[in-house]
Formats: sequence, structure tokens, C-alpha cells
Amino acid sequence: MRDDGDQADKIDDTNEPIPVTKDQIRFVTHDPQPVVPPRELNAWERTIVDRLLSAPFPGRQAALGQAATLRVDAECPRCPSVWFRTEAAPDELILSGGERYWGIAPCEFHGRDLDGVPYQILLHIEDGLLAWIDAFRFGPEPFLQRPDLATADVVCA
Amino acid sequence: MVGLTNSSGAVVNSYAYDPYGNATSVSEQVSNPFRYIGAIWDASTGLYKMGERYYDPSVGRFTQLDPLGTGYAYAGGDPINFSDPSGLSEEAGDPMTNIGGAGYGEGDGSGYESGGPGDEGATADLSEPIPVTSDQISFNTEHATRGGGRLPAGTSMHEVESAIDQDLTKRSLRMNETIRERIWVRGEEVEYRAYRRSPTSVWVGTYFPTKRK
Repeated sequence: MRDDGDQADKIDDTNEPIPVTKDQIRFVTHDPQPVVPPRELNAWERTIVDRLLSAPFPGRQAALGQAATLRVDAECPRCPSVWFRTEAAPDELILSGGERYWGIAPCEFHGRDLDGVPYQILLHIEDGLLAWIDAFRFGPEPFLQRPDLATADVVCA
Repeated sequence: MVGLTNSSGAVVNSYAYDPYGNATSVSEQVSNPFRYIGAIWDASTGLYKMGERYYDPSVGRFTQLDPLGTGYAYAGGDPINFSDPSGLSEEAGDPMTNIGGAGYGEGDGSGYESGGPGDEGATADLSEPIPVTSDQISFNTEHATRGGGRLPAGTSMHEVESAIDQDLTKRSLRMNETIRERIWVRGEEVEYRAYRRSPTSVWVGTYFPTKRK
């Protein structure tokens, strides 16, 4: 029987580390659905992009240029994640070695949903382009509420 | 998936299936793991990998119980009207028409996009443009993560997740402990986030390639 584990409050007094076995490992899955036609970012999404690009990192100027023309072309029905396209041909984020940037913006949001399950919100950059907002809970259920950015922690590398 | 086009729009692969996903015709010029409703085809076993489970089209059933332990049935036993690409539950829609033009995942460097030559049996006027609706669009997931992100060409979700499994099973995590780790997969650095939610479950929230030199 699979245990999706809503047992976050059942902590052994000792809370000893438990070896991870393969059958315990689960992967969070998103299911992007197209938005036709692509739409403008809403205020919540715009706040995420602006805050997560607020710290300096290689390619930040290009990222800010892309951010100005972002449109949402896919979204997740069970979570606040959205996927982007950029208008026109934006400047790409290029690393010092000439490769395009892959990874995440240097800042991210961390918080807990109403039931205490932790969530994180990351801004992904793929092949030199701002690609998507990754909002995930560590579990199979949908978010109980859209994360309150005012109370979430902003963690910067 | 009923077809694959190259970057010029020419059809290079085409597929047809019966309602249960048994291939009735296959024409391939390029290698492609994705078949019926976008599931990954394993020719060695004759099974499709659909999200959480493997599906056997010869008997029209999954090979494992669903995660809730309620059954093996595929698409509620009605593959004409429903599909179940995640292996978790049936979804309304016509599983035979998983076609479309460029969608999310376009331009992944593979040079190929998901898409199809047409809905078999349809009698549309081929000279007229057909409005694209969201239910017609399918995604190229060849280099996709389970979370909806992309991986560099040359890596696959299966490889990355296997590497994460290997890395995680060398570790011990306390209850409510979150970790952020980096591993190497085919020369690509991949970061993942994991959290022990219960004594019997560890959730990987996301993983993604990193090149930030």
C-alpha cells in the first residue's frame, strides 16, 4: 500500500535519520496545460519574477529584458506553476564560457501551506531563456491555497 | 502520438493504434520512444510506461495496481472515450487524436516536434486552416522533466530520475528534513530537492539542470 504520507506532524521524539529506500521515493508531477492565446502575467506571477531576479547573477540584465516581455503560454491546473514564452527575440543569458544559462534564478521563495507541508517557488532559466515558475509542494496534493508571498521566506544563493 | 514532423514540417514518423493502444501501423525514419497518447514504448517488454505505471496494450490493463490500490483497469475500461497518460486516473478525451502542432517544449534542440499528419478517419478539407484549440495540443516530452521543465538534449527523464534514486538511497533523512543536492548525469549537473514527509515517503519536489559558471 502506497503511503502518500500526510504524517508530517508524527515525528518520533528522537527524530533519527531514516535510510532512504527506493520504494519511498516519489516525484512531484506537474501537468502543463496550454493557455491559448498566451496571456499577461498576473500580479502574483509578476511579483515572483521581480523578486527572484532581484539579486545579482550572471546574465541578470538579459533576464530583466526578457521579463518585460513574458507571456504565460501554459499553466498547471493543480498548482500555481506557469510556463513562459518571450515576445520577439530576446537577449539570452550567456555564461562566461559562452554557454547558455540553465538553472534557476538566485533567489527563491520557501514557505508552508496551510497543512504545514513545505513548498518552494523557483524561477527556471532554460537554454538562456526565462522558462517557468516552478511552484511545488512536497507531496501529491494540490496547493491548499496560493502561496502568500508576503509571508514566505525569500532565500538567495 | 500519431506522427512526428521535422523542423521543416515534413512527416518523418507516423503511427496508428487500435483503441487499446496496440499499434496497427508504424512508419519510422527517426528513433522516437513516444507512442500511444504520448506514453513511452518499451519494445523489449511490449509495455507502455504511463506516468506511475506500466500498461500492457495486449490485455488493456496496467501491470500494477494504481497508487490508491484500487485496480488495474486502464481508462476505466473505456479507452474509446477516456485515456490515462499519468497512470493515475482516466481523463476525458479522445485518446486516438493525440495530435497537434508545436506546443510547449518546442525547440528543445532535438530538431523534431510532436505533431501529427492528421486525425485518421477525419474528412476535413485539407486546404482550409483549422483553428487550434487547447485540447489538440500535445507536448514534446523527449527532454522534459516530470515537473514540466526541460533537460538538455542527450539526457532523459528516466536517466535523471534513476540517478536521483541512486543518490537518495545512499542517504538517511530525518522526518521533515529537506535537502538540496547536485548530481552528474551524462556530463550534465542536475540539482534536486527532496523532503522526508513520512517514515515511508520521500518526495522529490523538483530537479533541473544547472550551468551557472
